[in-house]
Amino acid sequence: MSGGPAVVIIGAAREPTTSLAADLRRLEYRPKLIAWPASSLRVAGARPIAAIVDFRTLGVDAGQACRAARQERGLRDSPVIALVAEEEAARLDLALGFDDLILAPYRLSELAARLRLLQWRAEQRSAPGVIRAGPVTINQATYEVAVGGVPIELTLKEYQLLLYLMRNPGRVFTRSELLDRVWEEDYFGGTRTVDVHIRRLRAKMEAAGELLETVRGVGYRLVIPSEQEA
Amino acid sequence: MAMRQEQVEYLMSKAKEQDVKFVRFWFTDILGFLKSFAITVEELELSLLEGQGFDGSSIQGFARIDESDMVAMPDPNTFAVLPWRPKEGGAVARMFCDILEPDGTPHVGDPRYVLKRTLQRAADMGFTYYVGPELEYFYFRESSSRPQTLDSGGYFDLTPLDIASDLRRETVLTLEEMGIGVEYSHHEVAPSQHEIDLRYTDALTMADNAMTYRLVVKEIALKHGCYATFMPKPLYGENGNGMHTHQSLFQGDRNAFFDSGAEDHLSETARRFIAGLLRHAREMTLVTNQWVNSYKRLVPGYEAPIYMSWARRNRSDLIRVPTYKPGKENATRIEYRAPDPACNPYLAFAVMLAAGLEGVENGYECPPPVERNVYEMTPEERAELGIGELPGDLWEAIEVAESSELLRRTLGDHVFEKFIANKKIEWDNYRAQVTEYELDRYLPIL
Repeated sequence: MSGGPAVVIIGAAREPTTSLAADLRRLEYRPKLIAWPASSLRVAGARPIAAIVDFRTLGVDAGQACRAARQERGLRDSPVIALVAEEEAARLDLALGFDDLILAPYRLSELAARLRLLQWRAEQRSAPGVIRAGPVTINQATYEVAVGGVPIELTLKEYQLLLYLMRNPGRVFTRSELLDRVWEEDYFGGTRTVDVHIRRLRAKMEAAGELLETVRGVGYRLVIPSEQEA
Repeated sequence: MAMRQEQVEYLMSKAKEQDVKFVRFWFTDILGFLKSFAITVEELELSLLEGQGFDGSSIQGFARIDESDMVAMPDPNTFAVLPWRPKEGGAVARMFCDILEPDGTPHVGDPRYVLKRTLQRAADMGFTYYVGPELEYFYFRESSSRPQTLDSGGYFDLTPLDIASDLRRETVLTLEEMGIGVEYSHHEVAPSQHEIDLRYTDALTMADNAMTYRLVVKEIALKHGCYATFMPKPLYGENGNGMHTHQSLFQGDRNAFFDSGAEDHLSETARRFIAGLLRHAREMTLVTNQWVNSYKRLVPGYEAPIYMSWARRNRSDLIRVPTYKPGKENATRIEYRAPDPACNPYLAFAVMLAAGLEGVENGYECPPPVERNVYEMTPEERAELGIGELPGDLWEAIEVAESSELLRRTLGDHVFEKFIANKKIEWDNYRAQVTEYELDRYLPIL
């Protein structure tokens, strides 16, 4: 058994999902195949770097599997990857809640490259220390947030929201995605709450508030500063 | 609610960074009085994880027979330093709490839980409920029985050299410092009457905010040697204090009250919600207007509603629907104008939401809007249009409430029964009084 980073596969326990597991092992990952429908998506041990939902063997159940992966606490910070047959891609419902997709048949080198990127991001996240975006820094050890070296005071939710966006720079999130990932499950506010928090964050960050970009009709993203200058 | 370790660590580090020495745990009794006890910062970490036990037997509406042990479980999202407390020797912070039984189940007497339960019902129907209340209040020189106003200003007046403007400004800044968004503030219609409008948010956060708001207004006034009151009608012959509540339902990013296809841009959901509020208005008045004095405000001539009608422009109606502005579909909302700011905001939001949802769920038919002034109609005209009246006094409100299945279901048996019992005592105390009015009027002639 290899000891590499864990990757969850949600699919049916048959071909071609089983070959995907074999491919991952070949790339020195530790695949954990969960046969759908499953009562629990809980995975023991270290946090998986991704959850791959195999649309090829799940068919119409794939959407449900994506949602379940999204809600599973242990997979909270693991991106959900849809693995979709090339000819199905055009019909794919993009609102199912996955973060990225891989078209099948995939090339092993592509799978390797994508997983390497995810692993790098995961390491960035778990690295104790400072995350930066332009003038904004978050010290994850001391929970200190500063703009241009000057500390700013954030409420717990403002902090968690900014941290989440800064851990995923450049990525566009819908309001409901942010609500799912930053707020508690028993929270009764809706997506407008996200707007309220973004507004307060922008006010506190002053000029650096521009980094929190509204993507019209979609949601928000943290602009990667170099791309802002371009 | 299991707290995530990250949240605990974040709050502990904030408490340390801001030199917090005491943390006040806040919650609310059934009448809407803020209750508080303080723990030292050394106890905070454990309290965040396990809650803090206390004896709840003396809290109005909480205790059942032979049960008094309760647990206050702080909500990590409500941590805020109290700006008006001195910082020397350690700052003071507050957190709102859910009240739990020792076994961890929610306590049925906790108003926050009553609201959460109703919000869950809305969530099950796919809705999020947003509210924006406008709490009016008066500044007086002191809390004596003869209130003296600070100014003689009127609506939107900019009064020069007016201490009240400074008080209001400081109040707004303090609220903002505590993370409570303020839309705008202005002088109200009556002398020394003011209003600070809170920026809309979800109903649970808003109920917490309303509790904080009432305290902040009073604290800032006290600091400057005067007294602020949310009493519904402190001055005979002047406008009373209202808490007009703007409300809307959202489905995800979409305002469920807006329909671009409808002539007036109001969706079927909005109409049914209005119908629900109108049909159940009388039953829930006991909660939105809970004091003997509340009914002194609900009289003709002072912009307070009495008749149960709705309209777009007219401001004399129980429900007003602000006119739609192009491109502002998210601002489509309903303004319910009966509540006063001396209510329990958790229970008031819960019953308004429940009444509206009742209309949505059962497809109540919405009566047509009334664009005429209902006060100028004859009783016959109103009867013909099916326009009823809100209860005229606390007793009438108790009687309608007592037979309301909706109210019992929304508040839960425990709060419903405690609340009604409490209000009956209040009414009995009141009706036995011989008032100044009676002495002035009857003593010389009878």
